[in-house]
Amino acid sequence: IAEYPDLRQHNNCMASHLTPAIYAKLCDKSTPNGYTLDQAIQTGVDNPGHPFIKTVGMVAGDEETYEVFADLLDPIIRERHNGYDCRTMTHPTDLDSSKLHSGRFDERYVLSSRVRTGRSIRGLSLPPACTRAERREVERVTVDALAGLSGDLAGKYYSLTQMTDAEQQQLIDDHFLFDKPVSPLLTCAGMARDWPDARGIWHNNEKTFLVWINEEDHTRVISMEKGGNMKRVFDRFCRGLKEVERMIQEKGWEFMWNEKLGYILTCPSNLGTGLRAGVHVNLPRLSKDPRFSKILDNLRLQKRGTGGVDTAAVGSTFDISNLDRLGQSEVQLVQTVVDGVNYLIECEKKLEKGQDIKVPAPPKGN
Amino acid sequence: MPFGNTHNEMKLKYASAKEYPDLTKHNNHMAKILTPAIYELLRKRQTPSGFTLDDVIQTGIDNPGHPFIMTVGCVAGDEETYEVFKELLDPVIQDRHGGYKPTDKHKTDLDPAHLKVGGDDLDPNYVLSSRVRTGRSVRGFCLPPHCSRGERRAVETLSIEALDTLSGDLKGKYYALKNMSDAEQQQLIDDHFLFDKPVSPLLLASGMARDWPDGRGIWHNVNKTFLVWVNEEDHLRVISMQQGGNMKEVFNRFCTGLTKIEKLFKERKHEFMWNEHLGYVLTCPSNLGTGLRAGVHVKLPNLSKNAKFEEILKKLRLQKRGTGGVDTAAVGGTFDISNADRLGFSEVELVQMVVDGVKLLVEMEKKLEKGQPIDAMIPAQK
Repeated sequence: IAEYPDLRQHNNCMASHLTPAIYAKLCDKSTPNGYTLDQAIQTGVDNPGHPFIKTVGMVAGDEETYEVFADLLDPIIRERHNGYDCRTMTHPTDLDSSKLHSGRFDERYVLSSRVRTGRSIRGLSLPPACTRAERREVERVTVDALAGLSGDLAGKYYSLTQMTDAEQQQLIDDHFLFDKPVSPLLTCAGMARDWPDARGIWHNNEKTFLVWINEEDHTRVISMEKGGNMKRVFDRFCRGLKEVERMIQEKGWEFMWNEKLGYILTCPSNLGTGLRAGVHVNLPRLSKDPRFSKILDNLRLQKRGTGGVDTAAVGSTFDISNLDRLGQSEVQLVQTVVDGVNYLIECEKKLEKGQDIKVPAPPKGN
Repeated sequence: MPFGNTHNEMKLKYASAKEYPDLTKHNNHMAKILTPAIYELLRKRQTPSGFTLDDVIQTGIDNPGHPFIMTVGCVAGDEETYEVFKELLDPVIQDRHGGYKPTDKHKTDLDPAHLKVGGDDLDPNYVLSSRVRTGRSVRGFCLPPHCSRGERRAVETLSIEALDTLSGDLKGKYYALKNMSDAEQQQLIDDHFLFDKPVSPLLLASGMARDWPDGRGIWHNVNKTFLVWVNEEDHLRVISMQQGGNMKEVFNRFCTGLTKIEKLFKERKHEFMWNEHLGYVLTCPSNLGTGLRAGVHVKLPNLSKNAKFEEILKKLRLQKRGTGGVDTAAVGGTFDISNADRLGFSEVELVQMVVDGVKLLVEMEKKLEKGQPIDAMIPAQK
């Protein structure tokens, strides 16, 4: 009890579920690598709440975290992932992009399209806990694999330690590069240690396929382009991801994955697909309609500012993406975004003509 | 327990060269001293409480340099850190504290009667305020980079108990950061009484800000001339301050208060971390010895623009800062001037240096105001 954190001012998933009893049960445990409960929850203790979203408030230091601290993580996963019970359910993985339909948006509204996910290299600790040697190994394994990509995926690696300030700023402005770690959510979890050692960005020559190395996850894989061709973005995404996986497997490595939790990532919010498919879309009328939030909710979509998760929207351009990560496949989630964004555009068009719009029914089971 | 230390056993599987940090862009004391050989030697060790080499140096890896001062780049997690990692810390201490050797002994002198006559007559037209601060660590508890929540709370409880018994002009009250209103807190910051919310990456990277604001608070007497910070960068920071230039009075109160507090802790079977080589043991190696910073806010608009200003300060063994503290620049011509040394000189000696030095700076300022030269006044190196 002397060690139990004071969570009375807190509003995150960890604080909602970490009772003194669970703390007492788990506080002396550690993963085989030595990662402890206090380390896992530190970010949630240090960051009581976030202005725009209810944060998770804990992270994984390695793959085993999710098992050793299951008494805390299972209810958090259930809350965060819409009732998903990882003890009884299985998560579907589907990277067959040919199944996607109607994936081309009206470019008078949709300015850009993007799909991202994360992948962790099995056997190496995750960013909150990794040592410098492990982090450098993640970099080496990934860069090695990416060097084998060809055709429209051929590209180049830019290590953060060697990038010029000008190159770096250009990549940030183009929405390609990850932020220097200033968010206390990341810094309190220890993910920014030794920055910028072993961090970098790889991208293809066309800048439509990018891989971030050693930011919040071992790797973040991103497919993006200007305009509304989400189908092409998702095609490239699946193709690239499978190629990279094939190449690390040739060297004897694999991604962290299991059938209950799907792809294992640092933040419990990214389990399953780790997938966020989204667009930057202009919705000047709809965004001012009082029903906007409800419509998004029922479409299982989320809005963010165009600077990413910690920003507010500028003007009437929003980043709209899927809310869910776990319990549905990649194909299903991207289809949700496609259908949802098409619906939003229809609403915007109706409002332009002075017609009324309808709030869609929520999905079955909600 | 900052991140990375529980992996110490696991890390040893990797060759030392693979774990050795990239310090090529770094300019702090740790980076200058930590060779691959020293890294390899020390990485297998840990203190009895589990503090490791990577814990010691993480802040120095994450913060390559500071715009105004050469930072130390390493911290202690407990008293034993200074022994277990001496191959790194002895040279850092030597570099930082003017050649102080591992065999040197440090003198403690908290008798204000030893201050020379004067020191209560710094010109208040120039010297706006006077302040003396130091730190104290409670033996047996881990230091802020490494302490658990339970330890931090225990330090807080002990401190409140002891401080509550102070009386007379030292009688005061404790304000836990958790219970303070935002308005109270901002007032205390504006009055130069309260420590910063931890935004400095130097502090954050070493894990000192964990669980903020749990276990943190400020105690001060009714007159707001004697303050104790609990669980910021050290277990305790003790501060005596007032408007004007009467440094003698400030130092008197400082010594009286500190001696009383130490006595109260001893009555409760706790002592401060101290030894005859390092003096008072604190979190940052830069604060060893006296942990004392005696300083004034002083107006030196002419002198500060003089080309010889830095040289004069160096000769007087003084240091300048902005009036917002260590991470700020000066506003207008008003500076925070204080002793540069901490270790190897006693408390009395350091305060004497500040008093003598500031007197001279003010005289120089007055000369420059009248358009007179100051070259003849420039002192020899102390």
